Amino acid sequence: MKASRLKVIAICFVLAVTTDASANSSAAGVQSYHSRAKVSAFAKKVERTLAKRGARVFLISRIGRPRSKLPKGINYTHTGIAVYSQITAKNGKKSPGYAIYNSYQRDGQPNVSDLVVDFPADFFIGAHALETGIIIPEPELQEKLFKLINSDTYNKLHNPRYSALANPFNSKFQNCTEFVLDVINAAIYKTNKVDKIKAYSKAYFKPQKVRVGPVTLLFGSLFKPDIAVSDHDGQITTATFTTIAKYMEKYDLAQERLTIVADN
Amino acid sequence: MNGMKPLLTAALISTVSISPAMAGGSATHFSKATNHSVQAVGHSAAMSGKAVAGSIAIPLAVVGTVGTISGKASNDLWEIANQPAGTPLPIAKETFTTGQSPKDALFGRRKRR
Repeated sequence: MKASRLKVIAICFVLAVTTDASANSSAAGVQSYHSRAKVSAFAKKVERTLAKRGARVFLISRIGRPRSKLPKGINYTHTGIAVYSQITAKNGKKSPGYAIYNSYQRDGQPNVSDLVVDFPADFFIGAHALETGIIIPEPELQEKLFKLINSDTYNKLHNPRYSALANPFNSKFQNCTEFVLDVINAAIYKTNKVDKIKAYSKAYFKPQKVRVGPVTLLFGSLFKPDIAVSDHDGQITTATFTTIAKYMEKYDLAQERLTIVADN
Repeated sequence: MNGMKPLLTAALISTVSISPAMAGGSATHFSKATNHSVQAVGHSAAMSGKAVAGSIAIPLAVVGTVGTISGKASNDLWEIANQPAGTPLPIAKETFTTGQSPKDALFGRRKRR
């Protein structure tokens, strides 16, 4: 009796975790919370808003999960870097727009990430809420980011070992937001040395404390391949869009920070 | 067992509730949906323009940047992008999508299983 109860609980646990994972990180199980037309209109609104401000490079975020399910202090679930670009359509027509540089979890292998470039309509297709946090860096930083993204350093900064709770102060694992932080600091300090980048982050960047219990962390790390805690010593902290925004504002690296929401 | 049940239940609930912040965070979402969007959004072109599959994106310079990339972009766009910082930029009416799953974008369609 006791054994069967335990078995039922264990099955429920695995099923729930599996369901959760597939609902969020599997490209095959795309959950589109909004019509394609609405996503497309929102993406275009974001582009126009930033183009009007003359932004060549900016940080862009999305909300991939219901806000109510996000831990305290975490407002956005993914951050990338948008770059003003010439986009060539398959019919050969060249047009101006933004391309977004991302570190994305690999489909079917969530503990591995890849560098992928997509467009705003792709970026927001699975967003739970059509709202984005934006940081426009100071023009000097935009220029440095532009140069870095077009250099070999950009690829070198990517660590494919993904953990959602990656510690931004070491390079054992990396998540999408930590990658963006590494790119920013590499651009600012003109270095591709990861140990130096981490040292600068440790000196100046204040990460988000993740308030989860030890039991939760234990089970998360046991059952979810994209949650690892072995890179932490004590308090779990990670980089988020909001903590990067605070970092950039504190050191006058940001020209403007804004939130854009979809029209009703 | 009596002591373990609440422990497992608590772990179940809490794990399910914390994972999203990160797990779903940087997951790619476009895949199949994007393929649909290329077609579906095209029907509502009046709202935001047709969705067009973009194949190549060449970053346009910010002020002061020079490099080999400049030769790859059209002169008109290159000049526009090189105007003083903060100068408003033109944006295409079309909505672009990669039209590819991340797997396709990364490895190419031929390697798709």
